[in-house]
Amino acid sequence: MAVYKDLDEALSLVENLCTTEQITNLLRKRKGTESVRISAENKEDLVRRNLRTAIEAKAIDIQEVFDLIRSSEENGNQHIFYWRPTNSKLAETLTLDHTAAQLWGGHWQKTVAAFPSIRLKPDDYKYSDFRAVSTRKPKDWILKVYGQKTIVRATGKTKPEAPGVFWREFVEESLRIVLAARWNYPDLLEIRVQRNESRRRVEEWHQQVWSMLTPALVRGQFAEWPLSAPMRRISLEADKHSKIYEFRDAGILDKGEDVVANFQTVSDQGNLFKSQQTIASIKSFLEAGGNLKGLAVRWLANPNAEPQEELRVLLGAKESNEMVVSGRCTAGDLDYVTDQLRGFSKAAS
Amino acid sequence: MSRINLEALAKQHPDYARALRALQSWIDAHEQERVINPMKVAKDLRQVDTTDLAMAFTLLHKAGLLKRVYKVLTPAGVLADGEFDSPTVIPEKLPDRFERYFDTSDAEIVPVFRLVA
Repeated sequence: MAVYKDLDEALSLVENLCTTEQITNLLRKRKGTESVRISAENKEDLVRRNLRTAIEAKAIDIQEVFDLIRSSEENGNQHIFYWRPTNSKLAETLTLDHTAAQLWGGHWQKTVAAFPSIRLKPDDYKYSDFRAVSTRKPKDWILKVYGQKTIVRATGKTKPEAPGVFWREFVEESLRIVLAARWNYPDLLEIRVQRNESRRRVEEWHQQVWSMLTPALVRGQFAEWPLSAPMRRISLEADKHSKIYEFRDAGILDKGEDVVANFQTVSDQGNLFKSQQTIASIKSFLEAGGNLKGLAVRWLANPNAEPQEELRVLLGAKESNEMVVSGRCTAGDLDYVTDQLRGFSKAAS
Repeated sequence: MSRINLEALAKQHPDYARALRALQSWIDAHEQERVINPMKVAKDLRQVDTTDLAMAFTLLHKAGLLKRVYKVLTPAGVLADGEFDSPTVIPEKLPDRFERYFDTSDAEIVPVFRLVA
């Protein structure tokens, strides 16, 4: 079976992407079953010995391992670009079946059944996964693309060769790339691109996802969903929602776009709400017709619902429809943030 | 409830009890701060002798309540996200608060403490 053929790759991904706690929790689900051992001296043993043995003994289904990989690499530590279909009829046609048929033709079920495909294609991109997101949102789907690229990176080391001449050291590195398109019914297409120090790469990857979606849908059918309206409400209504979120950094352009002001707390754990002067300044810019250019929002954890853990995002800093999620998170927590943005995009009642 | 209790340490080291209790109050008043910058604490606790405060930090460190970590200042002069166990493991580039990457070789490294409790 294909899943066992790729077991080594799957275990490598688990080792690199998942936390020891996540792996232990998976093994604990089968605690007491023969072939399931939980304790290990280190993460490598936990994955290479304990998890492998449990999978080979069929105590743990390989699909559970794939779910672990999915939850670790699909949500967070990424740029999300929000796009809206330009008409509602298009939104209704974007079902999983229709999209898959457009991408892979009449025999799409066979292609989709072979996913996830986790082996990388050297210096290229490939479809890796396509599936419904959850039973809770049956009209949503996610398309995942894997890529691999060999990049050349300067190490920063230099060596004098002769007077006025020096060598700079460069190393080749293999970059593993995870990209995704998530249809968030009824109105949002999210293009998700992993974070990287090179903005050029981020933009290339964004374009790559569009190009791989092209058999099913094209960029011209969608419009950017600008986050300016939710950002404005989030900042102006901060005092009403202090149990839901805080914000730490804000950039603001004046009406004529002649002046940009940046407010940042010195501490990375700081909260701009604590400075009344800052709140008043931001309000005065906005009330005079200014616009936010970057807002770092910390969505506070909710013990009874989502988000399960605090989640920090940066809204609209570069592109108006772009959100940067700085840490890994659960799919549910990320959907919570998108739903909040949808809510705040509506006019205040 | 306090994240940390320094009363036992204050009793063991009466010479630094005042500094330890002031530090306890500061930690309690800054619940969100996982990482403590001694320079910031010294500014906030001007009434406490800086040598005593430095000793209080040393006592907490020795007691295993604090761990030494390193943070990086962005070009705007604020702390970048992320903390590092040693200056040698700081990546060459880090994002500032608006996701613009800067070269850390030119940046100031700030030694701070992380609460272990």
